[in-house]
Amino acid sequence: MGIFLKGRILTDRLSVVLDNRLYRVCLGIFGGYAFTAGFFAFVSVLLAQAGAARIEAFFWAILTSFLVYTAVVIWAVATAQPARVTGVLIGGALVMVLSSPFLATPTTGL
Amino acid sequence: MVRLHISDGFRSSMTWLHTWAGIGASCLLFMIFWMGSLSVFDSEIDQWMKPELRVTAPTEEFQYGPVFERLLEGEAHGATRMYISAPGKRDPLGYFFYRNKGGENVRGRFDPATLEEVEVTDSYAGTSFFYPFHYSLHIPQGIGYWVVGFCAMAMLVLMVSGIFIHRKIVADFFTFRPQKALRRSTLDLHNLSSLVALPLHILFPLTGLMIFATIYFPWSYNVVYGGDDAQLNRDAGRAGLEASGEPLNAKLDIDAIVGQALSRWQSAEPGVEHRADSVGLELAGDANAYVIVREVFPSRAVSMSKNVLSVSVATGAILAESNAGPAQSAYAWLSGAHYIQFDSRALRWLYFAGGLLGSVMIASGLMFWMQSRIRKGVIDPKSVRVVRGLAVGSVSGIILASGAYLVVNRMLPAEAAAFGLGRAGLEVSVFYLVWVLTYAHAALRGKTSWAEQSWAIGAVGIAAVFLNWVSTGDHLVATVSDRVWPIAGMDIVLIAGSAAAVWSALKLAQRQPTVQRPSKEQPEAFDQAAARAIAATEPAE
Repeated sequence: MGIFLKGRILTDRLSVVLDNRLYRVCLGIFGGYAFTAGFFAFVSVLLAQAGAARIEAFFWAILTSFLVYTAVVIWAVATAQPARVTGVLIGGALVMVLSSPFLATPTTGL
Repeated sequence: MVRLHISDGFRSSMTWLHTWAGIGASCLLFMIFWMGSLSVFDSEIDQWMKPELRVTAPTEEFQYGPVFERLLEGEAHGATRMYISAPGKRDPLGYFFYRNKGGENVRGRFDPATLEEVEVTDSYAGTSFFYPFHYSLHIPQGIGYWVVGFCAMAMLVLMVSGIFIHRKIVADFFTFRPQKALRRSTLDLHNLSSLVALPLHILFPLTGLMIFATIYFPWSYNVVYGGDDAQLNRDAGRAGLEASGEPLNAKLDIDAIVGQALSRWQSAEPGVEHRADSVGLELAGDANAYVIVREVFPSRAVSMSKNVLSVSVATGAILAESNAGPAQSAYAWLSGAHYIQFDSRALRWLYFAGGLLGSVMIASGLMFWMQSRIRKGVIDPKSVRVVRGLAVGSVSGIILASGAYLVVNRMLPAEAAAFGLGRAGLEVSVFYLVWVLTYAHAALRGKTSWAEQSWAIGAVGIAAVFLNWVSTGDHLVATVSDRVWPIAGMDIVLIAGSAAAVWSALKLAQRQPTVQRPSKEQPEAFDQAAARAIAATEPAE
């Protein structure tokens, strides 16, 4: 019973923090940056895997990344479920940053 | 069908975001927009500040070979790398760069007719001061790029949130009530200047970020290449070879290589007139020496050219060549739409107008926020002073400092030097000194500082035109009748800018009492955006 109550208070406190606008802005800026940095790498290696020339994959990432970053910042500030956005951004960033190097196609030489 | 539902909660969070991103970035954004607007005419500013550049552009086709020959046999003997840029319509002198035997970088300008170096006025002028200011703020260690990148992202977020705030975006566009209370006409001006150049306001920050994408995502950009920068360079047409240590046994024939590149591009795109804008020689004298030929801007297109070719000097073989697909071509257009080096003068004026409208948008947004706060008594007088000081110094202060920079450029003698600074360094010091003083002035003088600095801007603009006449003899009547448009245009813009500044100063003096009187008008329907903007930024408690 006591543990349950403690847990309730903790989650309540957590949701207060998550609903805080400053938290959302920080999530948008830093979480959004991490997510976009992951996206840049991930989308380019994925396109290269799908058969695109690597220089083209590189430019596709340049063309799309800043639009993704903008959308993610808007999402983080506007969302009714900040916990979910936190999960998507941080989780997505981790998955993409960690997996991209392994998906990179090796240099075949000149 | 999916209906886009914009809830009040979403709109209020966008209003909150718009307000605070605006307050946070507006001062810096104004500086960036102001300097970016000046950069549209950076070469023309160079001609105005360096009178040696006021010569007619050559009409015959430029040959690279003789320039390389003259430099390599003369003062650049033993240079390891050398780059030459052809003279252009906006920039009538050629440009050379080389790294000499001792590893020092040497830069200069040459006359395409005589191939002799031309000594030009020692000044950073437009291309080396205003232009880098708008993307680096001249903050060293690369920090400036990140500050500007942050502001550009804030700008994108501001544009998106700003669009969502407006319930009736078309109605707001056609609403401008200059006779209403200052605060309300400020908001109208903010909406009008935002909407009239909306595509440009999105284009500038977005393409600017794309151009520096490899700086902003230093890890991400070459993951696809497994971290292999050399291969990325090769795919972009730059060979990037290492020195072999063996001497070169072949004769360097630059013009043949340039001809090879041009005919290659010509056969790939037969309808387009191609030109080599810059030619570089890398690893000069080494067996691995190679030449990079670049076409940067086709004269009649917005898109930057993707044509880059690296050719071996020893064998004449093509070492690397760019081969742009759809994404690279899209990027070439977008980056070209930011670099704006095309020939069309009319389009360049459109950019200048767009940049100035962006500056107006930023400044009016900031002023609207301040006026609302002051009127409602939300901020205490001390903070008003600080915020106003920042706003005045960042808006009228940087304009005044830019004007003072032009004035001091025409006043300093050629051999000026003091405090360990050369002539160019002194000019820049005056810019920063005046700028800092405008902040101090605003902090001391309060509200009247807007009008006072406007008067100063008016005076400085006229002084610059007068000093240009005195120091070079090129007065406006002469430059207009001789059709020296870069100089005539500069003088006309300076006079027009002075007139606008004096007009603002007079208007501000008239408007002064209106601000202090508390508004008795009932909030009207169209002022809801304003009311919401204020409500959303107030503490909820």
